[in-house]
Amino acid sequence: MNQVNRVIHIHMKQKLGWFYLPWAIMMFSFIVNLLIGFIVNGEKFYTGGLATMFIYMFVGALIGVVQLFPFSLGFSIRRTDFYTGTVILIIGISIFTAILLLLLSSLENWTNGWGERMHFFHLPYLNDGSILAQFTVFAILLITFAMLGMLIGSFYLRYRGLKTFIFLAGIFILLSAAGVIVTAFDGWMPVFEWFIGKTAFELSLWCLPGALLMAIGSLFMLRKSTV
Amino acid sequence: MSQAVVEVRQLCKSYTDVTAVNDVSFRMEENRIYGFLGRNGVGKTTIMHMITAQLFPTSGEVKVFGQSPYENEAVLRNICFIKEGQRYPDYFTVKDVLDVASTIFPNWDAAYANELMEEFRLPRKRIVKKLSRGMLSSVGIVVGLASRAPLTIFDEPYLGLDAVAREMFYDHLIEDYTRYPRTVVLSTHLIDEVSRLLEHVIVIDQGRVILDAESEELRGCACTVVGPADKVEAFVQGKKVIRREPFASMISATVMGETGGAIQQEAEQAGLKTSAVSLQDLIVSLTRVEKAVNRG
Amino acid sequence: MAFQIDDSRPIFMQIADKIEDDIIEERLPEETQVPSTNQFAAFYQINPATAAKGVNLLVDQGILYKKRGIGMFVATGAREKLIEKRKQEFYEHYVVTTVKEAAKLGITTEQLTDMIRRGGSGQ
Repeated sequence: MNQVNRVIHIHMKQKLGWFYLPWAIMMFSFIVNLLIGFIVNGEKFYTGGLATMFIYMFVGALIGVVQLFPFSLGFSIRRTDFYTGTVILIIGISIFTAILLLLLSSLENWTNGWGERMHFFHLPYLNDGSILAQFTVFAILLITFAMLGMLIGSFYLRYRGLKTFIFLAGIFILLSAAGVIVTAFDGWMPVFEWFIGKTAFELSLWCLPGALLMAIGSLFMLRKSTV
Repeated sequence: MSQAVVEVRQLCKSYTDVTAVNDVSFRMEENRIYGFLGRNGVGKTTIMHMITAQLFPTSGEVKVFGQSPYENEAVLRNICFIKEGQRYPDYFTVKDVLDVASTIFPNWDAAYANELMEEFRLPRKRIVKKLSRGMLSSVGIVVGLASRAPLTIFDEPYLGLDAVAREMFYDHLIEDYTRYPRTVVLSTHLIDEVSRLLEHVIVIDQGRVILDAESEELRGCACTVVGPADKVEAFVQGKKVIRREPFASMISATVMGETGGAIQQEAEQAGLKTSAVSLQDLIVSLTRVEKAVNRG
Repeated sequence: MAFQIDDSRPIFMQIADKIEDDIIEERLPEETQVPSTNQFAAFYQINPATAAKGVNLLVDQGILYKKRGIGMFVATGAREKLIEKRKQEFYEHYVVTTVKEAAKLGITTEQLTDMIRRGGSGQ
């Protein structure tokens, strides 16, 4: 077993955070929605339950990095090996999850929304396009969310509490400022048009450079992190 | 000279407000047991973190097995650093920790780990974060011993352990060390208990090395003499006095001499009452003087 | 443990003394094997290098000798040699000090020999 495998092995000990918890919460949400569908027995409705999966990829990566990095470092594991193992794990889980979501989505389509009841896994826009396109959308979105979690986790490990807070506050202020500028120049319409003009597949591809940048940023910070 | 397992040169670590490690140099040789001693908060743990590349030095050089330890797998896989502040993930059980350790350390002995688990009465399925302080220390001891890493460092390995468990640790350490020699570093403030296990001691005080010697050479190199002030003063003239306490018209002074026992005989011949100084007393005296000097 | 390590002297000397005692009191007869340094280390909970140093001290004095590949043995004539050495030490440590102390207290040589005789008969 090489060092990277060891890191994946360590991550797999945290299956609760990576697998069980997100799926449990999402399936719970699914069942509740399905019950409501039975009770209401009206028109097909849309739910946001699928978002759980993406949020959990973010949370899972954040917690995974913050908890397992100090542990791994204490157990004589190289920082780069920890990083590589974590990235491979994130990609692996994202692909695995994307396939499962795709299967559930197909099932939902096939049963016509679980018997004319709701859209949970198969959402318009997100699930337009070919199977491969749908898979790519799911996988890239999951990876992007996880990379964001890893980036914030790495930032915390590198700079600790107060600076992380300032970092997050800074990003929030930047985003708000961008919003204000767009509003000031009456620019929302072109922005929307840009988004609307793209398919989910195209948009997900636009996430890739972002995910890559976050991954590189995490590497630089983890290599300088201490316990 | 045998191969240097650890070589530290002019190592410094400063933070914005303090200098935790100040110009520290020492070397540790292969297959010996070292005592890395000193009071709490004098920089011992910081130095050990730098040796294991978990902290970065401000300046100076650290070499382990002849190479820089930073991101160096060949070096790191041969180090097992058991530290008091080791962080464990929330849901890890004792078994998970041993499992991970078994994949990381090339010389891991699973049968020995199991034997130690039994002896230290560790519950396998218990979540590490829910263990008592003593049990947590036992987990570290099991990992440290069963890893058989060529450089095994124990930093305050027995917080919360009772005397029986500590004895068990010493027994196992000596026995396993004789069977599988390796470089062991024991950092502790319970000096009296471990002094007989140590081949060499390095004492750190206020971020500096104040003593770096074979422990056998230190045994009997100091003694405390008690007697009338004038007689004691005459005796200690020209000797290294590391502690001096007046008491009525008497003085009790601890002096350091050259080799084992000689100074005590000399004092007895001068008609002074003498008492032996243990390694712990010696270090306490030395680290106290340092303070007095700084104050003055 | 029947053996208390004393802080005033190096441990290897104390280990050597312990082995000497065992030879003098015939717990370790001549030409028998002595425990290995590792056994000494484990038994007394001391560093094996220290135990080895103690044993080697006796090897240097010809009290113990090495049999290649087997271990360490008590030399023939070791006991006699040790008793001679101890007698000399006895004179230096006890007799000289006793006489000195006696002189300080004004005890005459006659009184001292009388005391020794009484001590010997256990009165």
